[in-house]
Amino acid sequence: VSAIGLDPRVTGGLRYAHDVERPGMLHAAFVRSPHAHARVKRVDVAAVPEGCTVLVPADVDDLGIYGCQLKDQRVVADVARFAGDVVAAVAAPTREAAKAAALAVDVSWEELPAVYDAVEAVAPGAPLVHESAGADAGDAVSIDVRSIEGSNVCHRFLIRHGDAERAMAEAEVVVEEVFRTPSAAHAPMEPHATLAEWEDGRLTLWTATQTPFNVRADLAGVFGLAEDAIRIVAPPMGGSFGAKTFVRLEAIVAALARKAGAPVKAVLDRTEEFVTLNRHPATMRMRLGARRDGTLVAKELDCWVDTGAYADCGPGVATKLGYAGVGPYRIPHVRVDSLAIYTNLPPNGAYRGYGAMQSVWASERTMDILAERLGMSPLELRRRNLLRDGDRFATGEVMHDVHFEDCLQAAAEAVGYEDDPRGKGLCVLLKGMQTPSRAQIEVERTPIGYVIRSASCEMGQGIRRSLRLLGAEMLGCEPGQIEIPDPDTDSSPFDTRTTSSRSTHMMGRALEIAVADLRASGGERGFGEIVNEGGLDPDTGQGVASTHWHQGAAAAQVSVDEETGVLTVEHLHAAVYAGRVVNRPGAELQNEGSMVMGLGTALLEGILFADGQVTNANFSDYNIPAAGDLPKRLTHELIEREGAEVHGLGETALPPVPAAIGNALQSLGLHVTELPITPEAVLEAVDAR
Amino acid sequence: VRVVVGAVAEVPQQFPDLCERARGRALDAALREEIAEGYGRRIEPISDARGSADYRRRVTRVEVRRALEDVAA
Repeated sequence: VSAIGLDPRVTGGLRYAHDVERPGMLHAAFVRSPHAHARVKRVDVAAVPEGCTVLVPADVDDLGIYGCQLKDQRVVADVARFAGDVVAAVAAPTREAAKAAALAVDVSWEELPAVYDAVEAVAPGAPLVHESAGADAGDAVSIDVRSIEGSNVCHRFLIRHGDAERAMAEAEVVVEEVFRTPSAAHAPMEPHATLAEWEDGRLTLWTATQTPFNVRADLAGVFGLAEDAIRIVAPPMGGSFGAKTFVRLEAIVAALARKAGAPVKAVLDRTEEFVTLNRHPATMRMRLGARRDGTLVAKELDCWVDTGAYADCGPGVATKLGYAGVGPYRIPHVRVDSLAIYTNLPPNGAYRGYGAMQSVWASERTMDILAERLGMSPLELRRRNLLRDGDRFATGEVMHDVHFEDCLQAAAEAVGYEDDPRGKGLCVLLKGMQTPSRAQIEVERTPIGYVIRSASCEMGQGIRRSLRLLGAEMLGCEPGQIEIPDPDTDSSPFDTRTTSSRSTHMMGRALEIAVADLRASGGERGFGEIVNEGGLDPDTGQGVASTHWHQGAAAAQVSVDEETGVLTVEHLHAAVYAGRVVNRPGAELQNEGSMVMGLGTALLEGILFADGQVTNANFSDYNIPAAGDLPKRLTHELIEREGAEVHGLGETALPPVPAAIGNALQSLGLHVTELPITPEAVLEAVDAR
Repeated sequence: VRVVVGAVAEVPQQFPDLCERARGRALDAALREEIAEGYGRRIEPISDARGSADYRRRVTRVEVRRALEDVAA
């Protein structure tokens, strides 16, 4: 019970996308490729029972190609590019009938050569996942995509800051290491769910999405419609973590509904979740050069970022991964080459942290390797090089509102690092927010209070609660007097998307403007907009990476059973810069949730493949953290400053967790470079010591 | 003494002849190690997502020894 009343998530009152129903609706099931790369020769539907509608590749030949950053995906694949790619869809009166009918669809295949590793996919002679590069989606809030024609590289992001090669050659100490992180599942409780309905040539979708306006724009291209002929309603989600971004089921379900002449709903099985959108596996080669006194002089970072069969937002992930891998340090000479690469694995996309975890794992492990080489405390090495207010980052931008040292110091103190660093590890994180981006919000007076309309999507992170609390404070009413309808592209003003921990930061400020507008214009309606400008040149990495930095640190204390390799996290602490806290319980839960997800990434999680097939697509074989896996002590803090602005914190405590644990192992002489850190990997490190 | 090892092979593994060696003898360190080493040598572990056969074999030996230490204590 709170100021807002009983939480409808607890009472069962909340209606998720999964719960939406329409009169006369049919249910969808999908026919998926068993091959990682194969051309569809024929789709035989003779055995499909009457009363079912089957959507086959030829049905979508007249539709456009989609993709949020690169248009590279057909609504129904005529060439399957991963095991699980959808090559037909069936609509039937019940879910069971649809699944049975999908099994009756007989597909003939011509198998093609496939590639399952991003490093191999850029080697000469590697099979091409796409015969030609997709068209740049031209998304105004996205990035310029740099595909390399005739290769599997769908985007190349470069940072050229100073002369890294020469500075490295002149460095007194150089360390070099290669790091790897696997694919991972977002594993939200609620699977993907979408319902599509056509009426008089107008399309309405109720869908579990963080990105209603991006979905609308992409579908307009697919169906050749004006954007306002498409309506996206985004009910609350039962978790997402990046999984429900951009077009997922929306295009195919809409095409199926169009052919069936009836509303169609699709809800994925858990197994299908593992072939829908995962986290980018990455290989990173890190070279770091320093003077003997620990001053960093040069960094060179090569990243192979596996975006799977379709680009999705892989170009954006490779970009953020690339600059997050520089770390929150003053380094005069930096070279980064970060490639987003197609492979015949399921597509990879946004995952809480958006690439930062992968490169921070590499970057912050390298800092401890360098500290050991220099015979210097890892804490002192970091302190000596941390960015401070007014310093220039490798992107050329001048840093402002900088709190890395506060975060690091808080994390170190929480585990008593300076008293005794044995068994302990630290990690400090720099992560950017979606830049450029735009957030609009509307406030309108109602008989009982106010309605606040925005396209910020609720996925369990508590954006509705934050907007109610902020609105009540600004409008001088009770939070319960504020109504917040589901995001709806017909009635909600534009928002770039609910990603990158930006909603409270962006919408909170837009709301201030809207409330001021309401007051100035008679008290009935107000409109507010915040625009953050910027972006990076993909060829030099220069520009504005982020108008707002997510800053945090983690500390881990571990013990190791050196006979079995079992690692116990005795204490895990995260310190996150919050500026000003709006919704304290919500902010604390974001920290806890991020840390537990980071723990899963560090110790347990990895999607496994055999010839491109996922071999652990269930929660028996794919282990997310359970209560028994939690650290003995899990603590965290929100760093606040008087008069500070609201900082995003939905992801910050995740990326630093794996490296903090890896560095704790290094303090015991155990060197690990790959995630997850399984007992077997620890034992190998014990043997190698 | 009866020692059964699970989550290592397709079915739980027991080697009565190794356990038989403990009949009428004190479960001292040497005997504990002998039985543990025997289990580690004779099980036919599987490899899967949770660990390789080599890892299972190695840890079987450790866990059997530790279980016998618990019993002896």
